[in-house]
Amino acid sequence: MSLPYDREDELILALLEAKEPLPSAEPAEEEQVLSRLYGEVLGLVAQSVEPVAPPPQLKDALLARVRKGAPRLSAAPAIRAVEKPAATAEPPAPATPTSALEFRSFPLARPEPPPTIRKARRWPALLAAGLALVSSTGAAWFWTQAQESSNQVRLLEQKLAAVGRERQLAQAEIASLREASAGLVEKLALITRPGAAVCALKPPGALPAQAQPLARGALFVSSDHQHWYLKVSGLRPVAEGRVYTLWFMTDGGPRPGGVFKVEAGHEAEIGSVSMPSGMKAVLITLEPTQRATQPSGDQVLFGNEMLPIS
Amino acid sequence: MTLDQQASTPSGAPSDSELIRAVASGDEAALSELYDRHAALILGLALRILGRREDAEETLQETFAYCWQQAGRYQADRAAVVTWLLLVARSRAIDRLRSRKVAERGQDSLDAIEDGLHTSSEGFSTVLSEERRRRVREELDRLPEEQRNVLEMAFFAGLSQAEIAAATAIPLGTVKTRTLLAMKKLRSALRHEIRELL
Repeated sequence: MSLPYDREDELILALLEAKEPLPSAEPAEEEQVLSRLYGEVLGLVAQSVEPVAPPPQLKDALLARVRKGAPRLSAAPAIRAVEKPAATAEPPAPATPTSALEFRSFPLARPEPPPTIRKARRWPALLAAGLALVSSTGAAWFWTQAQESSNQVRLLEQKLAAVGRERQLAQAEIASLREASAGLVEKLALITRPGAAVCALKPPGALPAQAQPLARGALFVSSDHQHWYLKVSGLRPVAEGRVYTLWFMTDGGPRPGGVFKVEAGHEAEIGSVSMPSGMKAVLITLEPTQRATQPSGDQVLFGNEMLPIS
Repeated sequence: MTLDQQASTPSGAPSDSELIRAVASGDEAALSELYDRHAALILGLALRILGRREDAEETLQETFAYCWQQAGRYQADRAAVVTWLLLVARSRAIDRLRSRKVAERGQDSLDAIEDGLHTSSEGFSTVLSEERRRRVREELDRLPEEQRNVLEMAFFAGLSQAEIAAATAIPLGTVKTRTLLAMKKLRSALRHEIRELL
């Protein structure tokens, strides 16, 4: 997206620390898409947890709680408000009439006035019948028109929603492409900046039986010795639970740099903006867990010679 | 059922959006259907945050009670229904966590929850939701550990960036950078999953 870097960052941090699930304020249009995208990222992070089946009685309790009548802020039909028992959080009912139910039902309960005895005439009855016929025909016509209008409105709303979804998809696609483009520019800048260096990674000298002799890799390091970018190829996909782990070998011992997996026939890339100081060599191992603190698995790639790129 | 049913489903079942509109007009059956679709996931999230089954079940109830009351305020262009429900649940769970003052709860207890309570989800998960979970988990695992850690502390423990910096003795700026990098990487890596939710 074209938002200034700082604004986008603020938006992400605000979403993470928001007290309410969705910000109540209407964001500017160009921020809406980003807000939506990062909101969905958070929703997906939430979906990374394993579901846990609730006990059946929990649903019964919820529905009972709902029936008890929690106050609703939505635009529920008026009849519901009348039918529902008085909710605990609703404002107290006025003293007279005693309740909304009684108040609303009052006109229905009103007694009919006593019939008056008059001398009957025929023409008013005929006139009334004619008027009733005309008015009922008119009402039917208006009702039909209203139904048609209502249907048209519904169709237009559906079309509008579809257009809105398409627009969001297109904006998401543009955002992804821009991001991919920015990533490429960033990588290009990293390796073309004066002082950048590269470390070639190859399988270690003494190859065990399960070695991957075709694996190759390159670690690009920026001149600030913080930004780095690793690209590897020829690695085999690994079983579920196992991960390739990058280690920066320093005087203080190996420091984990990140974990990754590979898909068959694909290269893998990872990068970061921080690197431990005093890095002497780079090692990639195949670990049984993603939380390894020391290299203990098979050594797959190794490199210890940093060469200046330019 | 799939986790997200924003669009009309091929089987003719109402979408999540249609259900939430029905809930807004007071339809209890619609609330019941939404519950059946998403309660297991919400309970899993609440349990991950709170660590106590009783508290997590209360949070689940609060979430759907909130849904019943506030469904009219749901805006389809701001979030998928499942996202909205999950973020409501997260917000309620973190409020509860803070009020409980269990800041000392550590990674060990989180692991214990992950290892011990995931056996009862049969019948609630589908191939699609499992696939989505696997993809998200995979992308989370792909993140460098330091980035994943700060993101999980922010999301699942509800810690602010300053609180994470204090807890880990890492400069605030570094914490923010790691969090932002993690979020941006996830947004890029999970673009197909996000598209499904739009």
